[in-house]
Parts: sequence; C-alpha cells; structure tokens
Amino acid sequence: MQVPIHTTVFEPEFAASAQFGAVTGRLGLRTFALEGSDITPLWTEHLMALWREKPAAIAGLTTHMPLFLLERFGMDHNLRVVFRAEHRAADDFAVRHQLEGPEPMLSAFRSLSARHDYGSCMAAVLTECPERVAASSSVTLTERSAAVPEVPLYSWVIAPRSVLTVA
Amino acid sequence: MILPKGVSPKDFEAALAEFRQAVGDEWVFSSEQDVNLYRDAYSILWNEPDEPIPSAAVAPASVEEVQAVVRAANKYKVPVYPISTGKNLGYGGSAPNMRGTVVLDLKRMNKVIEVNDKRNYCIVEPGVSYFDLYNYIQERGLKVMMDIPDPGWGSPLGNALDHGVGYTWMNYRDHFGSHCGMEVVLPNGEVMRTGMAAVENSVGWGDNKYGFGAYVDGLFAQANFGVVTKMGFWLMPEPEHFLACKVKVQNYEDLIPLIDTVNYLEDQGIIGHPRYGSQMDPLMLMWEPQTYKPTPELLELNSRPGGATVEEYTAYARKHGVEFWNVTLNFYGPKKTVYANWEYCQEKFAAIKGATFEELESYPLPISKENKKKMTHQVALGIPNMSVFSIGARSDMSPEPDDGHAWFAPIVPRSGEEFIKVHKVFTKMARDMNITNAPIAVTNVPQTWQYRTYVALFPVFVSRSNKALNKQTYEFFRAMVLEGAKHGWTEYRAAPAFQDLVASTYSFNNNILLRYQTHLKDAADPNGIIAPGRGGIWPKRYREDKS
Repeated sequence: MQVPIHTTVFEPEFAASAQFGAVTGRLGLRTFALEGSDITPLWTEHLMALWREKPAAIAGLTTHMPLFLLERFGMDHNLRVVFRAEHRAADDFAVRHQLEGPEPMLSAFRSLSARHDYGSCMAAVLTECPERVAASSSVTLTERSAAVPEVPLYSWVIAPRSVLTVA
Repeated sequence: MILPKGVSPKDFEAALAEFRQAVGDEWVFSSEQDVNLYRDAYSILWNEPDEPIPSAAVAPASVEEVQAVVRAANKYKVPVYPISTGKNLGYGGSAPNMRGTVVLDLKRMNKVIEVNDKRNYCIVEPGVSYFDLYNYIQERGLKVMMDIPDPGWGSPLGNALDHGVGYTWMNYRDHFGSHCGMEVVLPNGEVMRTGMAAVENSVGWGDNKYGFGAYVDGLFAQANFGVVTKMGFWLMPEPEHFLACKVKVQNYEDLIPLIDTVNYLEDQGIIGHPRYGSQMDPLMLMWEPQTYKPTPELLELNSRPGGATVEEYTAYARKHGVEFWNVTLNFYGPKKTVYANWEYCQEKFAAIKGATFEELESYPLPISKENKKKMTHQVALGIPNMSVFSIGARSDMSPEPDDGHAWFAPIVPRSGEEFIKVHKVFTKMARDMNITNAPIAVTNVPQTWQYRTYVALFPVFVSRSNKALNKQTYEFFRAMVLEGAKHGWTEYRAAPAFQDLVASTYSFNNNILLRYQTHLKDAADPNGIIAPGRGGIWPKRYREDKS
C-alpha cells in the first residue's frame, strides 16, 4: 500500500518543477502552484484547514525554502519528511540527484531516471511512498537533463509520522 | 544518546516513562529523527560539541498534563524547556539553552479562549499561532485587529514571552507590554494566575494588568520561572481606514531631523509604526526586494566590509536620483482624520530641505480580498503571512543563499545623532574584522517596532558547512555585543548562544539585576528544572557545573 498523497506542490518558474506539477495533475492529484516560493496562500487557503482536520500527506518539487517551512508546519501536526531528494546542477547538461527515503522509492527512481527527466520521474516516484517505512536508504545518481536547475531543487514527501513506524 | 547534564540514564528513562503516562506515548519524542526537528535550524553552533541539542520532547495537551510533566521533571531533576510554537528563527527557534534539556512543546494547547471586540482583548493558549487567531477573528467577523510580527507562524504568547514586536500602533507593537494577565505552571507544578486573572471568578482578565500587589509577570518572559499556559492581550479595535505614505529626504544628516519629527508625531498619536528605509541599505535590499532594487554599482559598494562611505553613497544617490532616507508612515482611523493627519505631517516634514512626499496605499477597512492581495506590507494591518522568508532566499543580493542567521539587535535611543554613532562604530568593526557576511553599512535604517526605542538590527549569516566562518561570525557577534555595551546599546533579544553574554552587559552594580534574578531562581526552582540558562539565568546546580 502507498501513502495517499493529498496535494502536490510545485513552482512553475522552474522547468522541472512545472513538469512535476503537470504530471501529478494528469495523475489526478490536486496540485498547488507557488508564486515566488511564498507558501502563504498554500498554508492559509489549503493546508491550515486540512492538517487541522487530519495529518494528510503532501509531496512537492520545489526550492529549498518551501520545504524548510512546510517541514516545520508539518511537525506541528505530527507529520514528518519521509523522503527527500536534492537535484543540483552537476554541469551544464547534467543533474546530480541525492535521494534519501524508503528503498522502493529509490528503486523506482533508478529504473525511471534513465528514461524520463527528473520532473516527471519524481512525479511517479513520490506517489510510490509506502505506507510503512522501517528504514531509510540513500542513493546518488547523475543523469543528463534538459532541465538543469539554476538553484538546487528538492523533491519531498511529508507524511503522517505513523508512516515511520516499523512495519 | 544525549542526556541532560547531571541526569543518569536510569532517571532519564524513568522521567520519559512518566511523561508518557501523562501525555500518551504518541506525544513523547525521543528518536533522533524526531528530536533533530527541535534543533535550532539557524544555530551558529550547528554540529559543534556545545550545540544545544535536546534529548527529547514532550507535548502536553492541557494544563493538567503540563503539571504532571513538571512534577515528573522535578522528581527526576530533568530540565525542561517550554516552547509555544518554537518558530523564532534567528533568536534560537525551538532549541533550549542547554544541551540535553527536554523540550516542553506546547503546540497542542491551541485553544483561543476568548476574543472580545467590545473591550478589545483576547485570551489564548501557547499553541495558538497568529494565523489561528487571525482566522478566528475573521471567521466570526469580530472588529478587532491583532498586532503581529513577521512571519505569522509564531505564537502570540510565545512571541510576547520573547519580547517580540510588531507593526501597528504604539503600545500594541510591544507584545509583552500589551499582554494582560497570565496563567503559569510554576516549577513545583502549582498553577498561578496574575493580574485580574488571579481573582476567583474573574470578570476582568483581559482588562486590567495589575490587579493588586507586586507585578510578577516579567519573571516569565525571557526567563525561566514557570511554564505560561494562557495569556491575555489587548487588541486594537479595527479602524475604518488605513493610509500609508512616504517621506523622502536627500542627505545622510537629514536622519537627525527626520527622526526628531517622527518622534514628535508618533508620541502624540498622529502616526502608527514608522518604517524607515534607504534605497541603499543592504538589509532592506534583501528584505523588500519588491521595493528596493540593487544595481551592480550598489552591490559593489555594499560588498565591502562595512559598506562604502557616506560620500560614496551620497554620490550614488545623486547619480541614480534616489533619496538617502525615507520613512513610511502608517495612519489608522476615520478616512477624514487620517488624511488630515497626513497633511499635518507634510507641514512638519517640510522643514527638512528637499523633503518629498508620496501617498502609497489607502484602503477602507475591513480590507477587501483584492486590496489584501495587492497590499505591500500586510503586517501593517495584522494580516499574517510568510513572505518575510525572502530574507536568505536566492536573489541578486544573495546569489548563494545562507543557511540561516542570528539577529544582532541592540536597543538604541530614538535619535539621529545616536544612530550616526551606531553607523560609525559597527561599520568600523566590520572593516577591522573583515566581515562580509552581515549587511552592515552607514545606510542601515533604524528598526522601530519597539515603541519608544529603536533597534540597530542586522543579521549575521551562518553556515552549516563552513565552521571556520561560523567561528569568525561568532567572535564578531560577541565583539559587537561588548562594543555596543560600551556605548550603552544592549540587546533586547538574542539567540541562546549569546544570552549569557548579553545578560552580562546589563552590568550596573556588579550585575545586580542578574544576581537578583538568580537569587529568585534558586528559591522558586530549587531543582533548576525550568529552562536552565534562559535569559542568562542559571540555577544553582548548573552554575556550579559551569564554574
């Protein structure tokens, strides 16, 4: 079983993030576009009420600041970051991906990343977050990309803390 | 495994077991992953042996549960560090002063007890955030306005207890000063109420601060005499209109009459929060990128340690047709009177040669959805948001974002002459110590949140990867605190790493102020369990350890 992702978050000004938003939208997930990395509308119009009701999982591909802030908001509602990946330019044509999270997600990334650019690849990976995580693993890969980011981008899943309970 | 100083593993485990019994297993956090979230994300001591990493956290949901936790902590002499939402990044976040202290996280105590829009006050629990309180007020159509800080995720109670400040009208900006009565769990587990809340069947908790007898509330702010579980605050009635206007002056020395005039207007109740700016202030360029735009030439001037000279900035301002200083004035009240007040202000500022005036924003209240969206500085109307996190985000000013910052925040009298002295002292220090990771320049503007005093505020940026830089920054910060104190400028607030030093600068009569607080601490908290070290106050058991 996978953790149901309630909402995905993206920043349209970054190509990979925009792609992530488009693909997760096509997968039928509710998406939320951030303007200039400001999470205020996401918080006030959506998450504040949602998380007060239940600790629902969200996922994103964003710059660092939204993840930093959402992790802390999540903490107040008993949610944790259960998967995170950094996507950083390796050179003009390649991106270095550093992933940390449940092995099935890392495995999904390994099998998809050679065929898909990381924006759409992460859309598939993040929706594969298992409902129970006993341990985290990590992996680093460098892949050619048409969306080398100017600034490091981050993929992440914030899920109920209970996900981290040993299965 | 990190343990509190002087606590055996056996006693620590026994305390955690009693905490679990009090609040439930789910709300005691002891795994490394959970505990790491309570580290100060902006710590200048990140990954250093003396970084104050907690040993565990416990999150009670009621006063009774807080009492049970405090009693267990006393039994096993386990120190606990209360936080409300723990979001004061730059001043310590959710981390304690002492490594191994258990965080007492009050986030689950999140009830708005009362908002009264006839007598204009509220009573809240610690876990209520500014967003929560704002929503509560809006959803019920209550006619009151909160004074809030940047950003809005903090707690009114927690912010007040850290002497936090805001952006609206005079006294409301001083959040501790505008509180009215509190409920506290004392170190022995007893519950005390202050002011009118101390009256059985009180009907005036939110109205009168003092009641009768000694006023003890100050012992619970920036200190460690108990766990505050409820607080009342005075709120401002929602005005009919908001007007923001800007005054611009051309010369560096114009800061003197500019401040004098602002003081004259504010102390009469003509204006609300005066917000100073400069097109060339490196901090304002980071803080308000929508208003202040850098040029390559300005970036070069600001990249030097301590920035450029007054003459160079003056030449830059002339060349680019920008003023040296400006101040945004906020007016609250009926539309007729706010415009009359603005007219009066212009008459006063016209005495400064070359002063120019600009109306920025004018909104009837309650503010419409469209106006709210286009408003440039929402906190001036008590609207919580997170946009301040543009500080440290990537921009032309900051191509390589930092990992956080610690605020240097000395209190300075409201005087242009004094601020010019501040510029001389701190820019010289930045030059002498070759400091480039702090936006220090003679263009730094006074920060005016505290009614009746200014703050000469700037951040020093910290790194998680460059320990040598952090060490240099740490030493620079300490040197600034000591140098500032020589001139009578001492911090109003500081991150835990600097609280002992700051407390030591309040040094009249051989630090009698701190010695007196320490004396009280030993009497009120003999086991030294509440927040050891907070505000520089250490209980006996750890004072002996420190020496």
